[in-house]
Order: sequence, then structure tokens, then C-alpha cells
Amino acid sequence: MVSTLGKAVDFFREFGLFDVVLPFLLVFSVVFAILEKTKVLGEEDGAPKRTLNSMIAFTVAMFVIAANKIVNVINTALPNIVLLTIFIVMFLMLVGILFKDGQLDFATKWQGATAGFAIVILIAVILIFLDSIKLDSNESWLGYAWTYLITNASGAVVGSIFFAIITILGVMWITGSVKSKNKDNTEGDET
Amino acid sequence: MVAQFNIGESIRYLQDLGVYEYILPFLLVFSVVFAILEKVGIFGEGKTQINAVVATVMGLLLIAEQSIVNILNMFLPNVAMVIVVILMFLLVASMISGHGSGNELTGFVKFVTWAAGIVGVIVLVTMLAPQFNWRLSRYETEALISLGVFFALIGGIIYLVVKKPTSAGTTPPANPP
Repeated sequence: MVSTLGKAVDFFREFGLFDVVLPFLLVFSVVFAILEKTKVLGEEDGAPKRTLNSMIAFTVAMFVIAANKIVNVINTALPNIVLLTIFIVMFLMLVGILFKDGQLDFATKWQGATAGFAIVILIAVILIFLDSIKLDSNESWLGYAWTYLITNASGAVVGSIFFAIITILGVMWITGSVKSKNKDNTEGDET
Repeated sequence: MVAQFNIGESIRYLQDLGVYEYILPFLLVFSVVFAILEKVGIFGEGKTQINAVVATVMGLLLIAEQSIVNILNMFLPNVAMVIVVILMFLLVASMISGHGSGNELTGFVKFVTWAAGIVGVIVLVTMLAPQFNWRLSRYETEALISLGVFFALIGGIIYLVVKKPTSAGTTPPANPP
């Protein structure tokens, strides 16, 4: 049984709210805000050129809603990113139980963990978008890459990529530890 | 005759109306996204209207994807339950440690707290197992036990080797007169 609100959402879906209006609003707001913040198009009496900014934001948003593929990517990816956001907020809420007021300050107290989280979130967002972008065969980019990885796991390309990743990580780790050691030594000499 | 009020009926009515599938997820997502945008200030200071529009769009796009709303509806009550479990554990731990013992648990109290925590997790998993249809075969149980014993042994040895020797018997220097 479809609920009353469900019927309303279905009506809005048929009307085109989710395919046209919301993507337009989102792109318009984001582009307009960026143009206002960066003042790329210059200033007029110390303020950004609003008319010009709104015109460009409007045009970009119209172009986006005309491209059906991009609207589909936005419609698929954004709810997943919101889900990820809720997961992270819930995690912080759970961790927050164990801390007093003002003690939970990840950015200053656990800089390494914060950087690690940021990298994990970046990877998750990239994966979400890769999963949202479809090929002509309706397979997602992520699915295609995964299938390729599985079927060619023992091949030269996958092996080379893994080798390159491991080498880069190893070099970063070793140079990072050497740098921190040198820094410690210089600080020790100064004192 | 006085009309009977039944809170269960009210909840069911709200469910039928779609409050749990549309209104609450929208409110949650709107609040979280709006709060994050206001805190981070990606679009600059004082751009409340733009933040509100972006949060509204995110909320509306989410309620259009009912599969994700279903995941949220399954996930959030479990988070609430975990919060209650952690709070109950802290309640038991504070009962053992007593008032004003500071942040550090020491000696026997620490051991009892750890034991209570482990027993709590075991009880929780045992209670939840039938609900989530968690079943282990005999082979899996044996493998888990042997792995657990192995890791416990290795962990114990590493702890004994690595742990700092305690300065037992040392007394703090007396204050000079």
C-alpha cells in the first residue's frame, strides 16, 4: 500500500521535480555561490557582479539538466553520499559518548587519524561516483573496473598497477619517517 | 463513553501516512547537511539561504531513493540500541569503580570492568543471533575458537614482553619541610 506522502512523492516524480527542478536548483546554487565567493568575474563597488553570476549559474544549470546522463549521476550519487554522511555522523555520535564536552577534537588531537579518515572518505566518494556513472551497456564504471580486475588479476596490467601503488606507498612512508626523524633531531639540537 | 487513546495506533497511523519513510529521513538529512554546510562554510560566510537550498535538495533527493531510506530506517534504531548498550556498560563500570576514582581504572577494578565488557558483548551477540539469523557451523565454531585461543595466547605473550615494569614499592619523595 502506498502511503499518502508516497503518493505525493510519486506525483512529484512524474511531474519532473527530481529529474529537472532539484538538479537545476542544486547546480544553480552551487555555481552561483562559488562565483560569488571567488569573484572570478570581477567586482562592482566592492561587491561581486550578481547579475552576471546569476546568468552564468542559470546557463550552467540549464545545460546540466539538458544532459540526462549527468542528472542520472547526480540522482544516484547524492543519496549515497548523504548516507555516508549519516554513517559518519552516527559514528561520531557513538564515539562522543566516551568523551566529555569539548574533548572530542579530532582535527587537533588525532591528526593522523583525521587524515586517514579524509582519505577513506575521498576513496568512498570516488567509488560512489564511479558506481553512478554508467556505460552504454548499463554497467557502472566501478562494476566494469571490478570485473576487469577480477578477470585479469594475474595479468601484467593489474600486477603493474599494484606494484606501482606499493612502491609509491613505500617511498612515501620511508621518506615521511625520515623527514619526521630529521625534524625531531633538529628540534633536539635546538634545545 | 470515553474514547480510548492508543499510542500504538497513533504510531501505526503515522507509519501509514509515510512519516517514517519521507518526513523523518528528510528532516534528518536536511538538518545534518545544513549543519555541516553552516559549520564548514564552503560557500562563504553568511550564505544561509544557499546552504538551506542545498540541504533541501539533498533531503528531497534522498527521499526519492526509498532503498537508501530503508537502509537508514534499519540502521538508525541499531545505532540507538548500541548507544543504550554503551551507556549501560558505562553505568556498570561506574558502579564498580565508584565515585571520584578519576579517569584511570586500576588493578582489580580494571580487570572486572574488562571482564564485564567481554561478558556483555558475548551476551549481546547471543541475544541478537536468532534475530539476525546468525548461525555458525560446527567447523566455523571450532575455527573461531582455535583462532581466538591462538590470538589470545600471542596477545598475552606480547603484552607480557612489551609491558613496562611497574615501580612497585617506590614511594614518592617526602615534601621538604
